[in-house]
Amino acid sequence: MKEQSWNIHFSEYGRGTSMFFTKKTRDLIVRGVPEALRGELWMLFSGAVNDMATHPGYYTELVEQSLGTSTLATDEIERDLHRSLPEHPAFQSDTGISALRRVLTAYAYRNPKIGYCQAMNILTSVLLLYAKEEEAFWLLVAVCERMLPDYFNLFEDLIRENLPQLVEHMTDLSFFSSVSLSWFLTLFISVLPIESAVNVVDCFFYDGIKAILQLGLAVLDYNMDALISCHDDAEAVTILNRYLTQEALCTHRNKECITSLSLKTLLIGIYTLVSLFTLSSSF
Amino acid sequence: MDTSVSLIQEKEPAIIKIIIIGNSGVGKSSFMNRYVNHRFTNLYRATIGMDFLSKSETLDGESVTVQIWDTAGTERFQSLGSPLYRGTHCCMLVFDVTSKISFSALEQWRKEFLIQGEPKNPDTFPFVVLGNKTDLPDREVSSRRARQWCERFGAEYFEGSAKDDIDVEKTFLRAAHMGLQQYKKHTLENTGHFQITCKQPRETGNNCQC
Repeated sequence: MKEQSWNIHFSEYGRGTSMFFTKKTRDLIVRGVPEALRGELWMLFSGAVNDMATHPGYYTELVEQSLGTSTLATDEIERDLHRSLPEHPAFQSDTGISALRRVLTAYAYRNPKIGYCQAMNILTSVLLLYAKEEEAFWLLVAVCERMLPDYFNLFEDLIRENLPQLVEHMTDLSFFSSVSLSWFLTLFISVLPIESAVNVVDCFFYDGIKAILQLGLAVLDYNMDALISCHDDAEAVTILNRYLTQEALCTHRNKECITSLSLKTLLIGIYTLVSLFTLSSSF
Repeated sequence: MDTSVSLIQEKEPAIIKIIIIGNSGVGKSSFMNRYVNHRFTNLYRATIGMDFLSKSETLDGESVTVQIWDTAGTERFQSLGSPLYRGTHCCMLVFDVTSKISFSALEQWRKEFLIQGEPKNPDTFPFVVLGNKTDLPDREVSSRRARQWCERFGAEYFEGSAKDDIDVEKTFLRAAHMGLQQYKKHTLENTGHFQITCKQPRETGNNCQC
């Protein structure tokens, strides 16, 4: 069904780098990209497809140069390889682990300024599930060097602008920076079940950091009443965790959603109600 | 359901906040999960930011809620985790007995905690030091050496294994005990970032006078 809608879209608006993006594209993305098209569309939306086309052989060369080197980054990578997506069968064999090692090591070698940062392992694992190894590398480049800016102060500013009721209840907003670190650095992969998380990744590749910021605000907004009646950090973390895990239940029970709001509704919500949150100050 | 009404006010259990810090990969999350959920798995993802679990305990006949905050060991995330240090009653410093580096890093972790956590009694604040992974063969840090370091600032030393479930419970119970003492001596007015506000009309602003 989903594939069908995409095929119609391709025939109407083209496919690959010459594809037109319309309002309809976004509607389709919010509803979730079909598994088989994820790699292709992520490459396209992120612009990684162009980087890869203009740098033939670059990745292979990096892998040759970087593999076997020993740096602080490679030590850290080695420690995290088995702590990335350990529950997924793809990373329970040497094939998956070796690919993950090559991509992360090549990236750290390409950009020593960023090097390796925990969370890249989790993200790259998911990229490898949907894209070929070289593609995953270029997607990682796009995320780290173009798409994930220094959002830290941004999120606090946006909370201040859009959720004044919540701000009034807080002594300061550093709590939200701590809590949301994993939301941003792993694009919600580490807090949502993978089936839901990849849908968030779809939106991220299409809309960039805006998608993650909007979702972050929407999660806080949806839990506003509960957050406002919190007495301490622990209660707030419990509320947010429970909410995000309910999303997990939702996905696993497959549509028989017991919560009043599923992630998909939330995603559709933040996109249809364009003025739900003002991101104007930053974009 | 009990329908009779009791007018005896139940005392709210004390909330004891324990924070676990130490280098990445020493087994902080595993240790916490072994204690709270009684299980161990190799399928943990690296902790990004922080994680949190709580457990009810009875200490000397008194029920308490033990809140355990598990932090990321990655240096880059440290400044983002530290807002959560505030209001801690006991700090658990974890290292891996097969990694000298993780042991020598504890000095820095301890300093960082004292700066960011701002305990009112830095000289007597309770620390528990834990050497994890005693199930592994190639040990790099001896018990003696670890104990010597702990003596310098009055920390209590424990070692064990989250994997083999050795002395996990004992370590946490001791930390909770020490935390409870700290709680009684220095109950903090505000343990985090949430204000306990009074219900009042919005217009009157924030200056609550009740």
